[in-house]
Amino acid sequence: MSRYLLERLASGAAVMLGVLLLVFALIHLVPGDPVEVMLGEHARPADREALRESLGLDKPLLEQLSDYLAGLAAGDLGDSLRSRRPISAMLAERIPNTAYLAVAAFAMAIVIGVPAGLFAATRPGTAADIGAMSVALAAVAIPNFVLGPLLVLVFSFALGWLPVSGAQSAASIVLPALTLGTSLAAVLSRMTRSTVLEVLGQDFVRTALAKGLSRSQVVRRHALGNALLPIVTVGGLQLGALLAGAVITEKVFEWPGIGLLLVDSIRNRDYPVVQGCVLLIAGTYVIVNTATDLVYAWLDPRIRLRG
Amino acid sequence: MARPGRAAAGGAERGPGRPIPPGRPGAPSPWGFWLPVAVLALWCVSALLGFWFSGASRFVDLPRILAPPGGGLDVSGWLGFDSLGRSVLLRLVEGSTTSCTIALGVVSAVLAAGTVVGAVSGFIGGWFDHLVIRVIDIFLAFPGMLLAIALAGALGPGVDNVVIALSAVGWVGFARLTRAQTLSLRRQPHVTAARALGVPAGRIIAVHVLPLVAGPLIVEATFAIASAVIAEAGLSFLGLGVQPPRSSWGSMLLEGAHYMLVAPHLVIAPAVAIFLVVWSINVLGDRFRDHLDVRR
Repeated sequence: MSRYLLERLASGAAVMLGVLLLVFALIHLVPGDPVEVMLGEHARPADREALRESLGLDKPLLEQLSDYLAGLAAGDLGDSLRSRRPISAMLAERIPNTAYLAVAAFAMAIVIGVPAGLFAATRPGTAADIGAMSVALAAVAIPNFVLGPLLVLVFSFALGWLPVSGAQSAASIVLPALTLGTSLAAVLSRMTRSTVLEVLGQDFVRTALAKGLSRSQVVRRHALGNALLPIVTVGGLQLGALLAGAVITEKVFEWPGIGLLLVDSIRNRDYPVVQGCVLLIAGTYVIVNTATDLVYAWLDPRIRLRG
Repeated sequence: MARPGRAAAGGAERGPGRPIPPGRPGAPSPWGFWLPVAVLALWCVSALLGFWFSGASRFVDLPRILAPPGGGLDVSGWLGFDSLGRSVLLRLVEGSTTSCTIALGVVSAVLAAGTVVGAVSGFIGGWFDHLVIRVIDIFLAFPGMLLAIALAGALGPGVDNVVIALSAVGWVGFARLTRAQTLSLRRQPHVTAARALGVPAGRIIAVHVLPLVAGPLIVEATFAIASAVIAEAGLSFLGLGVQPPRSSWGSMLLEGAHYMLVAPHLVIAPAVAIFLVVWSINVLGDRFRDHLDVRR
């Protein structure tokens, strides 16, 4: 266990370092002079020099990198060019919104996806199965920015049940969470269906049935438990992907999370904030992925004991 | 590779339609084949037509602002008009040109780059392979769309930058796939024999390795086209992609969202277009994979 744990943590740390380097490089990818792009062509030379100095862009590249890493280690991500506020504070006030959205979407995906997969797996080849899986296939084909406006059209405008955008009332979360959770629900239902079908073909299921257990008991006690492992993995890895999807979903619904901050900052050419947002999302993704692998190893002795 | 779960779930995460259920529901119906084929044929034809109609699709006609879809002899009015009185149908046609050219451009770029990097890395091994693996891991550590948004945001909007951003994100999957396949092929007898006969490494890769990797690569490329269509529309939806007056399905959705209450057709038309194209590619990709029986 410990060897696998160390290996996995080391590779996670190496990847994290690479993510830091890429995020650091981001501002140097801006074509031309980043200071001119941020301030516009007509800025006074003195202002430009001041910004260049405050961003450290006048120093050698390696020194910039070490300053950046040292700042990060101290929890300092720099200040926003626009609001002059510390970026860490701006991120901190957005994190709860994005976390709320991600958790709601994740919960919705599990509540819809796993039962749908079970439903299909226990009726393989029937019209119900084909219907459910066709819906799932269609659901993965709908990107968030297509599904979101369509849901608004139906539930906010045509039916008038739910608010269009923003985060004012408790009902505001429903459409964004549904938008963000749908593709995950589809993936989970397909995954659940295939793993449960596989388990149902095993010898111990036949034995359980031969002993006189009812089909629903077998599914509940034997099939679901064994099918859980791949579902946990996919769920964990998809939680990371959910965070990326949240960027677009937050834009669709003007949901005040990290993703909206990222998109708005790109539009304002506030690159230090862009770096902060990308770092936060990618960092969370790396941590969630590493944690998923570890949980997986903990659940499955074959992996834990192999190393 | 000490990466449990990654191989199985990585697929599920990137390509729609993964993983493969062992018992696929029912026998595929002819509808499930000819409908997607027809949609994609229409997409390609309309992409070609878009080169002709780019002038007409940008024609501003103020009296027709937000006019609803109508029949009649004037084809340009069938899907209604947008907030500048431009024909939604013609803008959809121009949008298909945008999505088709960008998707094909991105997929050919990533296919070429990923295959070369993956094959060389898997074939020669050593420090170069270690380096490539590290770089691949770092790129995979980013959710693809996030990296594309960040790159497009830094590079600035425009068709070229969309292609660059999406290619920078997309090559990784192909490199990983080609490398894995090459690793398992390089110890095969026919490769050893070729090596013993003194065939140069480049020729071994081109003649004895790549043809055997082609099947999985083509399947992967099919799904990559769908991803590129989604990503292009997504970037344009965020305002980071194709810029006006050029039309993109993503920017049509963004503009249409402002007028949803009065002119829902502005949202419905591009939404249906994106959905149909992506769905068709996924369905055909699934069929194609089953046909080649590519299992990873």
